[in-house]
Amino acid sequence: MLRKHLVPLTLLIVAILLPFILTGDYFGHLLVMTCIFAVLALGLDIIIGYMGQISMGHAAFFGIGAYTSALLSLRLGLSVWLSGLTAIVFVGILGFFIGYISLSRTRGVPFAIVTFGFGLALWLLCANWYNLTRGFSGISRIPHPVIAIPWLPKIEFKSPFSYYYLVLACLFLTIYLIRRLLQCRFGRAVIAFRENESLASSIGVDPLWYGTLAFALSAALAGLSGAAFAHFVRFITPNLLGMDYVFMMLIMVIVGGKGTILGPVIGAAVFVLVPEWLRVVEQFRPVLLGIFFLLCIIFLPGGIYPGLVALWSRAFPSQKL
Amino acid sequence: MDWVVIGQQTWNGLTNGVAYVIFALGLNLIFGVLKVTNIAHGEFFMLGAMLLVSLQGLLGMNFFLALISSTLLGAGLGFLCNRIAVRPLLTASPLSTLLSTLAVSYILLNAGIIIWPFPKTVEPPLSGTLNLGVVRITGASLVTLGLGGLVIAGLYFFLSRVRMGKEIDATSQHMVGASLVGINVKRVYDLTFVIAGALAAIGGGLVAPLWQANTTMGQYVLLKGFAIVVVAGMGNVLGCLWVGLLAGIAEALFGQYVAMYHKEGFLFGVMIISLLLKPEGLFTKR
Repeated sequence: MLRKHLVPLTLLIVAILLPFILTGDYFGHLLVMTCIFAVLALGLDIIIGYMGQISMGHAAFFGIGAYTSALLSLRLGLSVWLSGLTAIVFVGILGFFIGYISLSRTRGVPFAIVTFGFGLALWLLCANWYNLTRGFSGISRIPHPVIAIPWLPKIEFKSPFSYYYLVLACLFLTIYLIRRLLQCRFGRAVIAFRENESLASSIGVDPLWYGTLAFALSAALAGLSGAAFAHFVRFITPNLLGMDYVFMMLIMVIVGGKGTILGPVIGAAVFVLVPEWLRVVEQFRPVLLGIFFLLCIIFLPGGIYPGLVALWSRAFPSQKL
Repeated sequence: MDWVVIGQQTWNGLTNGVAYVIFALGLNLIFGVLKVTNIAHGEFFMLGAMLLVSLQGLLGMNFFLALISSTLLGAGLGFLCNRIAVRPLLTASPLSTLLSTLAVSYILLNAGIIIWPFPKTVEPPLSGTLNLGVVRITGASLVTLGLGGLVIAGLYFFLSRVRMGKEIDATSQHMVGASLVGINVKRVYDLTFVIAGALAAIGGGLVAPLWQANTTMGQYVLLKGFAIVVVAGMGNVLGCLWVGLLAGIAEALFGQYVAMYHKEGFLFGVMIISLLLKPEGLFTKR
């Protein structure tokens, strides 16, 4: 019992203590970004790691989550909690339809291209629908979340320090959700989708239905991540839906290790930290990031996390992680 | 409806369409022969245009010489891309080459942004306009259409008549069968990438005088290329020609009569609908 929960508990405690070790707004900012992108990467990993497909349209879900929550809280004056929740549900429904349409006819490379097409259509819509999104001028002064219960002190999630605990809670909820789902019928059906779709459908598992649900869940997580991003950075542009983010999300999942829980989290951390270290070379940063990604795909196709696990089991053959 | 506008837009669409066809042919060739989706193809196109600009500006080459040089550079780039990013991953899943070429595309795009931070305009090789009835035909568009048509015809001739081209065709039909009759498949792969890189660079060079040459043009054309390839059917060369020309014209007319800003979205919409109705492509026989 204790042994089973040892690793997650240790990680939780370390994560809670981390802002006290890495103090200051700079590190706080990096930690928040890591958590936000980890949720995003975990969501995408449902499709890449467990379903065995590649979605290149997820940046659109991320961006639409950010826009929905930001616009609802800014224009309609909804509380951030409500607008965030609406964004998650809205993006989930959108993901359901897009996932259903794409999965009903395509797999593999055509699936990647169709989702790419959907993502770009949404990106163009977002960039050109000026009255709603203000185009490339972006939306600024997005409110930050506040807990205001009468007779209790008001909690504002404004500083990186406080926001970190909010997104950390989101991250652990996401991890818990994915782990639980993987153990039940839903998760097994999704993995069956990757392993042998026709066999799965022959024993009564409807791949299209479970695939669509998984896609919707993955989109909803991207929406959550987008909403968390919008209320932290408080300035969003249509670039959130664009090519750069498609690329970044794929880096996080593939470099971290697809099909694992910790892989995408590590990928998100690497993705947040490496560009920071590359600050010295300023304008060459994206080029070096691309080279880094290319080298990872060629030499470490499984990702960093499985590589670390392999190293660990070689060093301590008797200990199982 | 004004026939002059329709005629003019059809002509403009046709010139763009020829560039799309040349671009999509390379993309389709790589897909047909190697079963690889080359995301970096758009950046080959962009580099073709930008190199042409730089060769013209820095070395003072004339348009045609610069076009030939940038085409050769594009061919070399295709070769390198194959050797570095594609060949080591051919035995892995097709999605890993999609990712590795995506990485190459990201590298080239950002290198391009460093080298050419500002958009450039290119002097057309033929100045002056021809008034054909009521439709204005600029010298630049005439060059694009003429040279583009020649390139497409040349490629068709190469693939159907020349031994090397036939080897490419054979490999795309059946890789194992081709290697059994003594075709060096690895060499064919190299050749395919060289030709595709050259085609993309020619396409970029040909549109450089018509559009403004900038570093984001590769991404736009990549998606249109995908749309064309997917609608025509992956690996289908002749289908590409019709769909590409039609896409150029349809896009121009849509931009004129419906909504300028949404003309790219329109193409993707058509692509998605066509994929859902006929996933194997309109020109592929079952």
